[in-house]
Amino acid sequence: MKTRYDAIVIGAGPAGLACSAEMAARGLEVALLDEQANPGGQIYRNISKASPKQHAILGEDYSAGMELISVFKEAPVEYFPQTRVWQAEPNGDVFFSRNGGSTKVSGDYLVLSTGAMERPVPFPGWTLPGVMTCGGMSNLFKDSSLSPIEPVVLAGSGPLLWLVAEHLFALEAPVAAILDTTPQTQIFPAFKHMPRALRRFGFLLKGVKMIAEVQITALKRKVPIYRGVKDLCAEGRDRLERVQATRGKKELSFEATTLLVSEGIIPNTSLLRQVGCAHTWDPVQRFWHPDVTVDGRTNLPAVFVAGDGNFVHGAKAAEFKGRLTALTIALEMHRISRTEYLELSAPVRRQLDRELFPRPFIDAMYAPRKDLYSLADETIVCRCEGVTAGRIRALVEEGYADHNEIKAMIRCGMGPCQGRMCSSAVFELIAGHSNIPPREIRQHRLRPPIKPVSLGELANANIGGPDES
Amino acid sequence: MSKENSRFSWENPLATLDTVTVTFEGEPFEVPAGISVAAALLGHTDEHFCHSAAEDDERAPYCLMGVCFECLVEIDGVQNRQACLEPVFDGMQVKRQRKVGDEEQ
Repeated sequence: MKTRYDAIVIGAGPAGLACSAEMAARGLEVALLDEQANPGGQIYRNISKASPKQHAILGEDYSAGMELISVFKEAPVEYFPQTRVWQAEPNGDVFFSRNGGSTKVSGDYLVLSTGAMERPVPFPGWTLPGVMTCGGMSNLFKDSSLSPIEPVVLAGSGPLLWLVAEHLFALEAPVAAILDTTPQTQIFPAFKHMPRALRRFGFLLKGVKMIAEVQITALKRKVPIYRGVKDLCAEGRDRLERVQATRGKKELSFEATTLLVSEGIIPNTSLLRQVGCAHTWDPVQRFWHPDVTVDGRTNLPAVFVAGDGNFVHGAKAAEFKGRLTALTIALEMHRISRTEYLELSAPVRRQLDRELFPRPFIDAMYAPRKDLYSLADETIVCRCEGVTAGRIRALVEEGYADHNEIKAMIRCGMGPCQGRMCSSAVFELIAGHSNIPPREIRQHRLRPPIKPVSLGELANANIGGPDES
Repeated sequence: MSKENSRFSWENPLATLDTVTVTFEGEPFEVPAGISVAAALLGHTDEHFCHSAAEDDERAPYCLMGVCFECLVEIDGVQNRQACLEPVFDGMQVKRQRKVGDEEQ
């Protein structure tokens, strides 16, 4: 590995793959760093090694990633898998851990394509072994062909819930119940976005068809589906034994050893916050997203953000955003002319626009419900440090007004995950119990190293620079 | 293949795959080559991976994409490895992450 590149891309999902391949094609020296062992991100996880059976179950939206991977593999990009970035700087310096050692590498430009993650929503019992995310189950299947053989309950709201249900049915997994937590009235505010969404009629139809097919299979296999479900609760001694919930006045209870939850997708902004990208609060999606232009620019001149990490728009959109970002950087580095840039970027912009037509409808349909963070006092919010909603709420009522202050008081967000799992909920508790408008509440800060690094590794780090000690 | 009481199974029969041998808490078992340590353990047993940092309750993978840090294990003597991000290799020795303050003798 060299110590300097024209551009360093972090994250090998659709945005990072498309961006690095496009920049390399324009003559830039590009390094792509990724945590995983294989390219593809979460959506195309393990795609280059997946079996025909895995492709058959996961369907055409998964297999669509093959072309992206093959273009990437042909491109002269220096690819570094199993590489944990623990610090990035606005000047293009990147510090990372790989093969048990830490190193610094510098780029004229950084592209952060760190993608999205499932919105972590606390509920009673969510720390029990056996409770995991729908995306997590999907990853186990993509990675390893693992499939549940004991009763599994799916609960949550959004397309991923139905997609994973479809896959589990195809795998003949023993699904005990599907609990849809989407409020049944949510379809009404979504309607105003329908005309625009209908410009991608085929796309909408595919989603509707998928949900209908899951419902038909559920009916055939006598798997109950409940809508408008509330009060989800996981119970068991040392691991999950039972899932409980309510639907209207009815109490639901299912014996299960696995509970898969999904309450939507949010940008994974850990590295973006650490490097200092400015963010904006989205009141509909209720997440923070970086301020990014369509060509990937942030408030930091050398730092670009591409893909779902800038706003959750899905895999195809991420690929187009990655290419636009690549062309912008190529233009800035004078590897392509203004005319070439316009010629090359225009069709990509059109594809991106087309991809975004249905998003306002889907976003409104599956917007986080109002009571998503109406947490009981005893519910654990910070999984690492065991901090409950009641303790956080008490501090907010005393006047503590951001996650950083609360962390300093009760260690909430100070464990190994560094607030990745609790910061959404802590933010909502502050928003719900103080008089500060959400967009004015300070975000949770992340300080380097944003991934655990051992002291020994830091001491032996090969990070260059003057060493007078 | 020794399999305890896992909640999961591999879709493909192990006989048709390349396998490697991984040891968890001293017990060796075979898993498909190339999978993650988290998948290997989940396909083998429904036991926990680690304990929470502050309380003492048992934890197992939640997100399986490197975010939650609930799958921390010790791999070949090195602690704090995220099992969902590490691929298995033959002869790998995996242990539960020791509890905080629980020094090995």
